[in-house]
Amino acid sequence: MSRVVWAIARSDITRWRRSLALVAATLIPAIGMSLTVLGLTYAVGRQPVALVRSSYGPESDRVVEILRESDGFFLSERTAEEADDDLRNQWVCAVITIPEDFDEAVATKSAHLEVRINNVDLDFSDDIRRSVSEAVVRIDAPELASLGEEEAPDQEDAEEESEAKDEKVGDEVSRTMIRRGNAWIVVPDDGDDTEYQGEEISAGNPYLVNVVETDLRSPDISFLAYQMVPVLALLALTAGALVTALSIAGDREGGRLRVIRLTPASRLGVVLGHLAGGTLAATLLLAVVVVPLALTGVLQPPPGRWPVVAVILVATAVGSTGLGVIVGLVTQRVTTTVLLGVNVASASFLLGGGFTTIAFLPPFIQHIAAAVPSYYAVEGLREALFYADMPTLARNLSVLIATAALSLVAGVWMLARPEPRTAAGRS
Amino acid sequence: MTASWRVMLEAARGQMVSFARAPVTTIFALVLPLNLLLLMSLFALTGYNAPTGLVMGEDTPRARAFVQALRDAHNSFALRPMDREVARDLVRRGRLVAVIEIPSGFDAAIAAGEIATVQLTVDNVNLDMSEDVRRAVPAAAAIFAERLGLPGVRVKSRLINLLPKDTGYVEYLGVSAVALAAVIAGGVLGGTVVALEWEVGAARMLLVAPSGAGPVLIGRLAAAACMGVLASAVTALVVIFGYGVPAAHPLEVVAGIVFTVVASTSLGGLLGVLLRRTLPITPLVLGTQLPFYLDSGALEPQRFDGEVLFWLAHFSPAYFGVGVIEHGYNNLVVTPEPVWFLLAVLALIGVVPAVLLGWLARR
Repeated sequence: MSRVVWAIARSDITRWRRSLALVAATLIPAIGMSLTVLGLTYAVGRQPVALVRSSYGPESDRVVEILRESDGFFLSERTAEEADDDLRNQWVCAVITIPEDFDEAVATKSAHLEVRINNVDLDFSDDIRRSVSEAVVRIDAPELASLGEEEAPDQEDAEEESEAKDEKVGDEVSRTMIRRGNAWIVVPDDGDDTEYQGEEISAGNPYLVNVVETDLRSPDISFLAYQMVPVLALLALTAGALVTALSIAGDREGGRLRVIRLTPASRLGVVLGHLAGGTLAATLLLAVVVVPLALTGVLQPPPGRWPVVAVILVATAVGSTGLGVIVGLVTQRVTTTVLLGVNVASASFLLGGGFTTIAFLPPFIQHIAAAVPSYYAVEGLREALFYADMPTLARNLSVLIATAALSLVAGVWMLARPEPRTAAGRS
Repeated sequence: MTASWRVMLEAARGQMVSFARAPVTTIFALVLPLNLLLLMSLFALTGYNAPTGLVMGEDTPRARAFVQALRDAHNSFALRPMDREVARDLVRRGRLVAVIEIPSGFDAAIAAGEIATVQLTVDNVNLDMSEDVRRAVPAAAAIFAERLGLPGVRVKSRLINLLPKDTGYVEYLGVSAVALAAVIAGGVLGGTVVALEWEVGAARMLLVAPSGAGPVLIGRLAAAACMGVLASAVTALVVIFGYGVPAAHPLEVVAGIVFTVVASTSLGGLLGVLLRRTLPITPLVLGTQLPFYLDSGALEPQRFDGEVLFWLAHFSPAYFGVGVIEHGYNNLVVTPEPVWFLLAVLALIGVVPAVLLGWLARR
C-alpha cells in the first residue's frame, strides 16, 4: 500500500508544482490575508489629528509636548482655517484646540482642551476620545498614566517565584514600568527608579486614583506577530485543503478517479496518498514561511517551544488536508470545488480566529467556532507562541489529528460508493 | 434591435440557463459574499468593549462610582464581576483582556483625599486591545473625578462630535461589507463565465462568429452581473433586517450595489479573458480584493490612513462602492468625493473593460 500512497502523494505534489493556476490558487489567498493583516496593523495605529494652538505659555507648551508624544495621534499643527478644511476634507479625523486663555485658565483650574471629532464610526472615535483623555489626565497626574511598583510578594513566595522563573520559560512577568510620553520604561531590576520618579511623579494626583499595571509578558507582542498566526493556519488550509480538493476533483472530472477505482490499489491507500501529498505540500509551504518569520524575529516563541510549534503546524497541515479530501470527494466539478474550497477556507480562517479572538465573541459564535478545526490550530499556535502554559495542547492536537482520521474514513466510504452520473453542466 | 444586441441577449439568456443547470456551483457563488459579510462582522464584534474581569475588594458608593466610570469610558470594557483567582486564571489563559481589581479601603481613601491604588493586569498579547485598555483607565479616572467633583483637576477636555450620533462599529463594517459582497460576487462570477468560454473551447468558435466575441462575452457578463446583484441584495437585506441598519437613502443603496457589481463583473471579465482559466479566478479575486476592501474606507474613512493608502484604494471598485453604500445606509460621508462622482467612476469602470473584451478576446 505504501507504494500507492507515495505514488498518489507524489502525483498530487507534481501536479501542483507544474500548474501555475494551482500555485496561484494556493498562495494568493494567504498572500492576500497577509497584506490584509498588514493593512489592519496600520489601521489600528495612530489617527491624524490637527492641533490649533492659540496660546503659547509654558502650560500650553507642556500640553503640546504631551500631545506630540501621544501614540494615539499623528499630530499636525494648523491654523484654525486650515484645520477646518482638513477636517472637512478628511485629512484629519479630529481637531484639538488650545484656547487663547489656556495658561490663565490652568492657574484657576478651569482650562479646557476643545476636541472636535469626525465621529463617523464608534471604533476610531473612541480611540481618539481615549487618547485625548489620557493626554489630559497626564497633565495633572502623569503617574496615573504611568505604572507604579507592585507590592513585593512575601519571602516564601518570592523564593518560589524565583525558582520557577529559572525553570519556566516565557512565564508571567510582573514588570514595573513608568510611562514617559508614550514609551513604557521598564524600571531596572535593582529597583532604582529614582531617575524616572523625579521627572514623572507630580506633587499631587487630583484624580485620587493610581493604577499599578502588571503585564503577562514583556515586551508586548506585536500586532503583526499576533495576527500572523491565523495566516499560517490559512496557508495550511489553502495548501492542504484546496490543493487536495482540487486534485481529487480534477481526477474525477478528467475520469482518472474512475480508472483508479479499477486498479488493485486499495481505497485506503488512495485516500492516504492524497492526505500525504497535501500534508507534505502544506508543511513545506509552512516551513518556507515560518523560517523567515522566525529568523527576522516576527515569531519568537519562548525558548524550547519550537518543537511544539512545529508539531502543531504539521497537525494543522494534516487536519486541513483532511478537510480537503472531504471537499474534493463531495464535489463533482473543479469550479464547484474552488467555490466550496474558498468558502470553507475563508470561514475556517475567520471562525478560527483570523482578525479576532474567538474567546471574546458571543457564546453562540464560540460554539460554532468549536466545530471548525482551524480554531484548534490557531488556539494551539497562540498558546505555544505567546503563553506560559498550554492547557489545551492535547485537545487541540487531538482534534486536528481526528479531523484527518475522520477524513480518511469518510474518504474511503465515499470512494466505495458507486460513481454518480455526471451529466454535463450538472454538479 | 441590432444583431449585436440580439446576440448579447441570447448570450445572457444562455448563461442564465447555465446557472440554473449548475445549481450547486451557483449556490456556492451566491453564498460566498454572505459568508464574508457574516465573518467580517466577527472582527467588528471584538473592536471594542474588551472582556475584562472586575474584582471588587469592596462594594461601596465610591467603588461603584469608579466601576460606572469604567463602564462609561468610551466603550472600552465589558466588565465581568468575578473572584480574584478566577479572574487571574482567565486572564492567564487568554479568556480576558485584563483584570481590574478595586482594593478594599478604596472608598475610605478617596473620602480622606488620599490616593487609592487600582491593580490592572493586562494580557498584552493583542497590542490593539491592550493599548485600548491602558488608555481607558485614565479616561475612567477623569470621568470619576468629574462626577465626584474632585478639586485640583486643572484641565479637562471638551469633546464636540461633528455628527449627531456615533455609528456602531458593527453597523459601519456590516454596511461596508455589502460593498465587499458586491465586489466579490461580481468579480468571481464575471471572471468565471468569461474564462469558461476558453476552458470549454467555445471561444474559438466565438472568434469566427459574424458578430465577434465581444457581444457574447458582454451578454455573459450581463447575466453574471444579475446574479451578482442578487447575491449582494441578499447581504444588503441581511444588514437591514439582521443587523437592524435601515437604509437612509434606499435608492443610493440600490445604485451603489448595482454599479459596484457591474464594475466588478466587468473587471472580473477582463481577468477571465486574460487568464482564460477558471481555477485561479476565485482565489485571485478574493486574495486581492480582501486587502483592497480593508483599504477602501471599510473600517474608517480611508484618508485617515494616509495619502499613499488613500490613493491606492482608488484602484479597486470597493473604495467607490463603500463610499456610496455608507452614505446610502448610514448617511455618512466617508470619501472626499461626492456620491455622484463615485457612481460615475463605477459606471466608467463597468463600461471600459467590457468594451475592451472583444479586442482582448481576439489576441
